[in-house]
Amino acid sequence: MIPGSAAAVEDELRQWMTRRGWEPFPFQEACWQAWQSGADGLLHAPTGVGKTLAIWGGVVLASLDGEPELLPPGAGGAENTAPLRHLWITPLRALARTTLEQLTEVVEALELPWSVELRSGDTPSSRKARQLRRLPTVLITTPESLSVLLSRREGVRQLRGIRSAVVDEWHELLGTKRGVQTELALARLRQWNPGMQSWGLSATISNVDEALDVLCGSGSRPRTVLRAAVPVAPGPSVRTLVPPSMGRFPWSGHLGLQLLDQVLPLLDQGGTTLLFTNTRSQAELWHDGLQRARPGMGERLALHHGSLGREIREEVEEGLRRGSLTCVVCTSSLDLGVDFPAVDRVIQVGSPKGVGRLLQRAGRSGHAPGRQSHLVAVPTHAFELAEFAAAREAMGEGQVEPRRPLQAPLDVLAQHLVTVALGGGFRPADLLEEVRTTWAYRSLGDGEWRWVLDFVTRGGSALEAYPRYHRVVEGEDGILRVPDRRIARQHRMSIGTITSDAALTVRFLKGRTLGSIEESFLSRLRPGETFLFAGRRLKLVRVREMTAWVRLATGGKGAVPRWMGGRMPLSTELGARMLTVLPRWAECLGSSDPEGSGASRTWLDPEGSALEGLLALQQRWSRIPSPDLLLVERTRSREGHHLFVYPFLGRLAHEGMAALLAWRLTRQAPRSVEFSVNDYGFELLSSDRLEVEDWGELLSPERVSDELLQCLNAVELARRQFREIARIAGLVFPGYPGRGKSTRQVQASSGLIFDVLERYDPENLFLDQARREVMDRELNIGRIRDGLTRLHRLPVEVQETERLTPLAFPLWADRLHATVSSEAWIDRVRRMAGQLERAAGE
Amino acid sequence: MSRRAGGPVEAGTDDGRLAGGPAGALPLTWRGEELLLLGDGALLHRVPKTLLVADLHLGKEAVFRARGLPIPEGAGAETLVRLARTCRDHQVREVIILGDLVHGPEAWTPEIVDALVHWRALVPGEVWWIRGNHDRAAGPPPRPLGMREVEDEAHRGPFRLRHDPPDGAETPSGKPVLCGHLHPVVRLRAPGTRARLACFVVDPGVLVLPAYGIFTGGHPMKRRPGRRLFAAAGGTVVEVQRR
Repeated sequence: MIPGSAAAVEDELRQWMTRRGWEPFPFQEACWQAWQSGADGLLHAPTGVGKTLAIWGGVVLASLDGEPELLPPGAGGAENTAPLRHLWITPLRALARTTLEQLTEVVEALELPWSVELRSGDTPSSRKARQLRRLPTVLITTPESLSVLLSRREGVRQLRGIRSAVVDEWHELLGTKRGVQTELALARLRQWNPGMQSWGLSATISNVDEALDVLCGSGSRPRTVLRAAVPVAPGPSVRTLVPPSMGRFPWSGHLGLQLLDQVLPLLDQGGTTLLFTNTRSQAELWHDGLQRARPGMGERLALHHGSLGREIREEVEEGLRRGSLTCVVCTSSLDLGVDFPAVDRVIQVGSPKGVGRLLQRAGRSGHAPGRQSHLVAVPTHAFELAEFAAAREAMGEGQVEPRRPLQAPLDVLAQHLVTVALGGGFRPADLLEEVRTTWAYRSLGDGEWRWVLDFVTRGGSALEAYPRYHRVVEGEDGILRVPDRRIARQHRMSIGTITSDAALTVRFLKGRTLGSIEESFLSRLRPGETFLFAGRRLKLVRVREMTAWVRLATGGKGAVPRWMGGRMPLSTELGARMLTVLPRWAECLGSSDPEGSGASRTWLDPEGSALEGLLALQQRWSRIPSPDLLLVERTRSREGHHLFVYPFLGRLAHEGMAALLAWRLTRQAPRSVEFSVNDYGFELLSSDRLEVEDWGELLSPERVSDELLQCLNAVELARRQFREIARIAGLVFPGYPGRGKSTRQVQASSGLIFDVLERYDPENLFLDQARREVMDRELNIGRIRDGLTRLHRLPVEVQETERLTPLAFPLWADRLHATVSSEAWIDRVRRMAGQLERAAGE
Repeated sequence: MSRRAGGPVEAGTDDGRLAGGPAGALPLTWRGEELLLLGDGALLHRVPKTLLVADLHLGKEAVFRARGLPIPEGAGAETLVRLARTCRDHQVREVIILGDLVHGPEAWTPEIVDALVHWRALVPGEVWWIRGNHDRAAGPPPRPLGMREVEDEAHRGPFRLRHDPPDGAETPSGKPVLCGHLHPVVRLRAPGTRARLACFVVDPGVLVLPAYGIFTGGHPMKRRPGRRLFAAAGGTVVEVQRR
C-alpha cells in the first residue's frame, strides 16, 4: 500500500471490517479520531466488545498521518519493514499470542510494511538476540521484558523511536508493582519522545480518571476517557445453582463437589464451558471430579492454572481457540482478555468476592460484540448464595470496585535505577526529573531519592557499613553505569516484580514437564505417595535439586497441593451490598404468613428463597444483620464465652480488627482471648465473659495504627513482607535457573537479611517499606480505619443466644480447624451441625 | 499441631549428678562426658575447659557485597566479640572450630583477619581449626592466624571431631562425634506464633552444634526417637519437649 492520507486508510479499514461482516461501533470511531487528534487516553469496557480493534485502528491511522519512513510495498522480509515504532504492553503472556494474531490481521489486511512480533519471558533466547539487532515495527511485550530491553544499549537505541504505547488490561497492572514498573518505563520513553501517545485498555473499574492519570503521568498532553458502549449487548446474565438440600449450619467449603451433578447437565448442552474456581487446589479437585463423572469426555476436558507448564497451558488455549474442548477447569489464569469466541458459557465455583471479578468472568463467554454473556454461579458455602445475589445486583447497577494505584515503592525505583544504569547510564538530576513525572513518584522526596541512589551505588546510606561495595558506579563524565558484567547479568535475571515461593518443577521420569508446585507442599510428601496435579494422579518418585520426578499413579486418593495466596477477601462494595440484600430478604420472611397462602412471599432473588430456612432461623435465634446497626452475638459453650461481631468488611480487615479488639479488651483486664475471622465477621473467645461497657470506645478508630503494631506480631509480618522487597531491590539473588550450586555462596533467605539489616543498618528504608506494606496490604489498615469510623457511631445490637447461630457457626468451625487435624475436624463440625439442626427443629 | 517449647530443663538432666551451669547454659552428660550447652551456640567440654564452635561464616557479608548484594558489615565482628566474651566468661583453655570459619574467597578482608588474630591472642591454649567446605573454597588466609589446621578430622580426648557428620553416625558405635555443618534449627509453633530457633542435635552417636555465626541460615531438623533437640536462643538453652 502506498502511504496515503489517513482518510484513505480509514476507508480501507472500514472496507475490511465490512468484508468481515462488522460495522464499526461509534466508540471505535471515536477512538480512531482521538488517536488522530494526538490525544492520550483510556478505553474502558467489558471484555470482548472490540476494544483491540478500536485502539489498534487508532494506532494505525495516527501513525499514517505524515509517517515519512514507510517503505515501498513488496520489499518483504523483516529487515525491510519499518523500525520499532509501536509498543503493546500486556500483563499476561497468554494474552500476547492472541494480540499478535489480532494486530497482524489488520497489518496484513492493510498491507502495511510493518512487522509484528512478541517478546516475553517465553521467547527463545536466539530469537531475542536476533530481535535485539532489529526490533519489529510493532512489539508486543510484558512490563518485565520491556524493562530488560531498557537495560540493553541496543534496546534503548531502538526504543528512542517509539511513537505510541498501548497498555492492555491496565486495571490488572494498576495497584501492583508491575504497574509502577510500567509507569517508570513509559516515563523513560516519553522523555526520549515527548510526542509519544499512550493509551490504556481497561475493564470496568470505578476510578477510570485516576487510572488514566497514572498511565499518562504529569505531562500536559490532551487526554480523554472513552467508554465502549455497545448498543445491542444486554448485560451479562447470572444464574445461581441452588443445592437441593442445604443445612442451616454451613462451614467454608461444606458444599464441596455436591453440586457437581447439577453442573454436568450444563456441560452436556454442548458448546464450550469455562469452569472458574478461585484456587488452584479447587481447580484440581473439580477437574478430578468431572473426570470421574464423565470419563467419556477424555481429552475434551482440560485444566488450566498458573502453576502448569507453559506447553500444557498453550495446548489448552489452542484447544479453546479451535473450539475442540468441551470444558476447561481454570483459575484467574484465564481471567484476562484472551478472546475465545468459542466459549458458550461460564461457570463460577465459589464467590468471586468482588463485583468487578464477576463481571470479568461473565464476560469470558459470548465473546463477540452484541452477544450476551451467561454465567452460572455455583456456591461452595450457603452464604455465597447471598454473595452471588449481591454481586449480580451491584453489577446490574454498574457499581464496581476501584483499583487503587501504589505510591512510591522504593524497591521498584531501586531496580529501575540499576536498569537505566545498565541501558546506557544516567545523570542523577536528569533521572530524578524524569521519575517525578510518573504518578507513583510525583512527590518523591529529595531524601528518599538520595537514599535510593546511595543504595544502588554504595549499598546503603551508612557508608562505613558497606565497604568495597559496587553496583552502580559514577564515571568521570558524571554518568552512572554498571561496570561489572556479572552484576549486569544478575540484574537482568532478577528483573520482574512478581515473586513466588520457591517452587519445584514437576516432571515425568520420561521427560515431560508438567508445571511447578511450591516446596512447602512437596516437602510433606514422601517418595511413593500420590498427589493430584495437572489433572493427573501422580506418584512422587524422588526430589533432586529443584525437580520433583513423578510417574503416573494407578489409583488411590492422593493429596491436593495447596498453593499460597489466592484467597481474595470480600470487597468493600460487595460486603456493603450484602448488608442491604440480607435485610431485604428478612422482610420477605416477615411478610410471609405461616397460616396464609404463601402468595405474599415475594422473593426477588431465587437465592433468597433458597436460603429461607437458614435466614428464618438466624432471625429466630438472633437477627439478620443490617447496615444501620452492628450485630453482635454472645453465647456460651464448654469452650468459654464467645462474642461474634459482623461488620462485613472482608477477611483481612476482620483479622486486624479482631486482634485490635482482643488487645483492647485484654488491656482492661488480663485474660487470654482467641479469635477467628471470615469475610462476614469475627469471633472472640475467652474463658470469662468479655464485658463491654462502651462499644463506641472499644470500636474507636483512634490510634488504630499504633495499637495494631503493638498487638500484632508486626515484626514477624514485616519480615515476611520483606521477601518481595528484597527480590525487587536486588538484596537477594534467586539464582540462575538450573544452576543451583553455582550461586550457593550468595544464597540467604530474605528473613535472615531482614534481621541483619535491622541490626546493622536500622535506617535502611526498605525496612520501613516492609512495615508500611504490611499495614496497607496484609492488614488493610485503610479499610479497618474506615470501617471503625463508621461502626463506632452505629448502635450496637447485642443478641444473647443459647447456641451458635447460622452466622456464628462457620466462624466456630474455622477456629476449630486451626487446632485439630482435618479428619477429626470434619467429624466434629458435622456432629455440631447435627446437634444444632436438632435444636432448631423443623 | 501445637507444639510447645519446654520450660528450662532442670539442672543435671541426664542423671542428676551435675550442678547447674551459668545462667542460661544447660549441663548435659553425654556418653559419659560432662558438657555445657551454651546459649550462644557454643559447647563447653567442662573438664579440659575446651570450647567448641561450628560454622562461624565470618566475612559472609563481604562475599555478598563482592557479588553485588548490599549486605551491611557487622555480623562477623559481632560473632567474634561474642566468642571472645564466651571464652573469657568460661575461662576457656582451648578452642576447637568445627569448620566453616569463613564463608568464601572474598571473606578474607583485612578487618576480619585483624579481628581473628586479635581474638586468637586471647585464648591461652591451642586453637584447632578443622577445615569445612567453605574454608576450602575460601582458600588459605592472607597471613598466618596461629591456629592448628586440620584437614578432615581430629581425635581429641574421647571425641572424634569433624566438620560434617559421618555416614551412619547416629548409632552409638565407636567414638562419639562432635560436628557442625548442618546449621540445625527447630521449628516451634504455638497458636499465633511461629519460631525457628538454632539448636543442638543430640543423637546417641553424634552431637551436632548449631551455627555460631550471626549471619547464618538454618535447616529444620526432624524429631525422631532417641534424638534430643536443645534450642539455643536469647542466650538460653532449653530442651524442646518431645511430643
